[in-house]
Amino acid sequence: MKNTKSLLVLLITVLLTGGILLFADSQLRPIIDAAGSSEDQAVLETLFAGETAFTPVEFTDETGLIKKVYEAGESGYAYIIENQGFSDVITFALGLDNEGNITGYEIINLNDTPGYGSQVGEDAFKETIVGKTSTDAFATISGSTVSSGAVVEGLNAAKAHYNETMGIVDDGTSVPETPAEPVEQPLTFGSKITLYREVSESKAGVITDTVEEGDLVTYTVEVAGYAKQEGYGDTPNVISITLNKATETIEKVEVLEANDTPNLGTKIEHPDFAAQFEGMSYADQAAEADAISAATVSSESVVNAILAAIEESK
Amino acid sequence: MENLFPILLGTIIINNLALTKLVSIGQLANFGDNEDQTLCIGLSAAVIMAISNILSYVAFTFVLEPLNVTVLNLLVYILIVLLTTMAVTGYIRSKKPEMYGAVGKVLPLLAVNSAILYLILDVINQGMDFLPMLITSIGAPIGLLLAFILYGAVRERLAIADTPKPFRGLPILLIYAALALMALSGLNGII
Amino acid sequence: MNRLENTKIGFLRNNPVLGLSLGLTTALAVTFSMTSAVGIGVLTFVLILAAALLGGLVKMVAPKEALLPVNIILVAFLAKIGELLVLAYAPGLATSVGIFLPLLAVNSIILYATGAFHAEESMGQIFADAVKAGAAYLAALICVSFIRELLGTGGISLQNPLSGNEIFSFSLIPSEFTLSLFTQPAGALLVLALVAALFAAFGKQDVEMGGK
Repeated sequence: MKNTKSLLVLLITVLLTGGILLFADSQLRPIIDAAGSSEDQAVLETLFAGETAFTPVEFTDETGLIKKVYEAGESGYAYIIENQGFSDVITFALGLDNEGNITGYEIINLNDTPGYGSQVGEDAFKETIVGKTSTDAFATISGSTVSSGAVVEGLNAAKAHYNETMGIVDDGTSVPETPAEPVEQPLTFGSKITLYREVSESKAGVITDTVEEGDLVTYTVEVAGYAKQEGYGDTPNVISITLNKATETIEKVEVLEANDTPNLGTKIEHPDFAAQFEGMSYADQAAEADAISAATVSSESVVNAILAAIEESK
Repeated sequence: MENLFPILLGTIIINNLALTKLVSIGQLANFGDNEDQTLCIGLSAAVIMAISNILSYVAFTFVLEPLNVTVLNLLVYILIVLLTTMAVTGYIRSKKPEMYGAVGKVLPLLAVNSAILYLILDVINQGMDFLPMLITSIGAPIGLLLAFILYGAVRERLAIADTPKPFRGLPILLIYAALALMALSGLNGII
Repeated sequence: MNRLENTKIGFLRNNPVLGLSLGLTTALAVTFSMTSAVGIGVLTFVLILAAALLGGLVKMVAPKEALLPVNIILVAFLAKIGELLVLAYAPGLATSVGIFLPLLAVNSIILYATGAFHAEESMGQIFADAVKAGAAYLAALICVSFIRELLGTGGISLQNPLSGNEIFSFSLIPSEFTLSLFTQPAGALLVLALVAALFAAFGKQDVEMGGK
């Protein structure tokens, strides 16, 4: 075992190093605090216009989501929050004034799916947060539950801390407004579908209704979409197609019922998709349409419906 | 009080420190020439981890933090780990002298096992309460023991395998670790 | 570590991290980006030099049995000083490597540099070994992080940890061909294994498994 001298050396080392560390800390602590805040300074100033002095505050947070809490001068509190989103960590800042109102919400780090999770960084979502109070509840975005859920969890953690600090009681009765609607995304088109092509019977459109008005004939067509073809459901898509028999052009296409995968196949309901058919001449044997990327089968079902309508009209 | 069993299961398998957080690989890869030695080293590491984790938590919560000297944290933790290691080494030296002859040089190095310090730092960073910390101090060492045994078994197989020359030793072992990690990550989200 | 007493540290042959498994935890953890790798690599190099100096001093006053424990304490001390300095002057680096910054306290290469494993060597010898080890370590970190960042994100972006300014950056691989696997732990293991194999192939190294 160790002899006395060894123990002595060990003891002295510990005491010496401890002393030096205490000294170093006293010298460096102010720099460290300043450095820590300066990282956030820019964001904090966006949250509280006009404030420049932000002091970090000690806090306890059971959720582990609150990374930093600052006192924004006399104006209120700022929170830096971090939570695991869909593919990466989401970091955002939240500002609350002294009356319990949320004055600011800024994203610091967001790397989730563009068009889906990325919506938590968009103005539409921000508007559902800023202006609310610390006792309001927040709704997630349908279609990006993981990302928006992570943000809402972080918001709740901040609210809990804020309410505890300010002595506000949150009875939890406030109900989130209906889930924020996903922002309408522009369509991306993929491959081309030729109008005149072989269509198997199971995929062909079935006319269920015909209405004639002079040269215009409106057909209601039921056609098996992705869901029916793959066997997920029994409901076909229902498309209304108006043809001008005189000019042999498509007057209008309207998707009445899209029963395919939500947010994918149902994109055929998007006005831009149907718009491409308006005025299209079906006399042209080489006529073709653009399919929505990632919704090819559903897009094809619409074209099949149009084909059935054209054949019926002849 | 959150469910404590998931914590136990989590630290042993799903969030196993050595296998998923990649700590202590240097020691796992090199310590112990045969099954018995590896078991002894693994058990010692587990015991050291358990004891020093609890002691460090207590030291931080009741001494460092109240006195506002958290800058001494690393020093204090390492000191605790060191003293625990010396105690365990002494125990093995007196109770199992032959084993001590074989692993005596390696045991003191358990004081710088990164898994042990990682656990201490992590528990305190997360601000755990006492009971979850206690459970973690049981689960994580079991996980570390498991890692030692697994690595030991793999090394035994690798010793007789016909590995390409450049890959012999550390590289092929790390590739094994990568495969183990990818397999374990399938368990994410189970609890 | 029995093997350490007999092997000479080298660059390709017996590279401290790739051949002798020293400082593996840090190497795996900080090489996800070149900026962090270089930042921590340089920090470790500085700590290694300091460790060699302090280790030499300790050797003069401490009896042989106390050598290892005292040096372990010294490494923890140096790591803490390093942590404070990084927090103060390069906070971005501190946030990006997180818990692995204080874990330098148990980084075996810094402990190696104190000379605790070579009780008989002179201070000058220890210092020379330490410099070699530190340089080889930094080089290994740069190699591994270069590959990881390139394959994982498609390009390299090197920033000055002290000021956050970009030193240089380029983008080579389009994002469709990048694998985020490489910036994650499993990728760390794979790339380190491959770089180690590469170095071994070039250095014609002969390290046996089993810790001998």
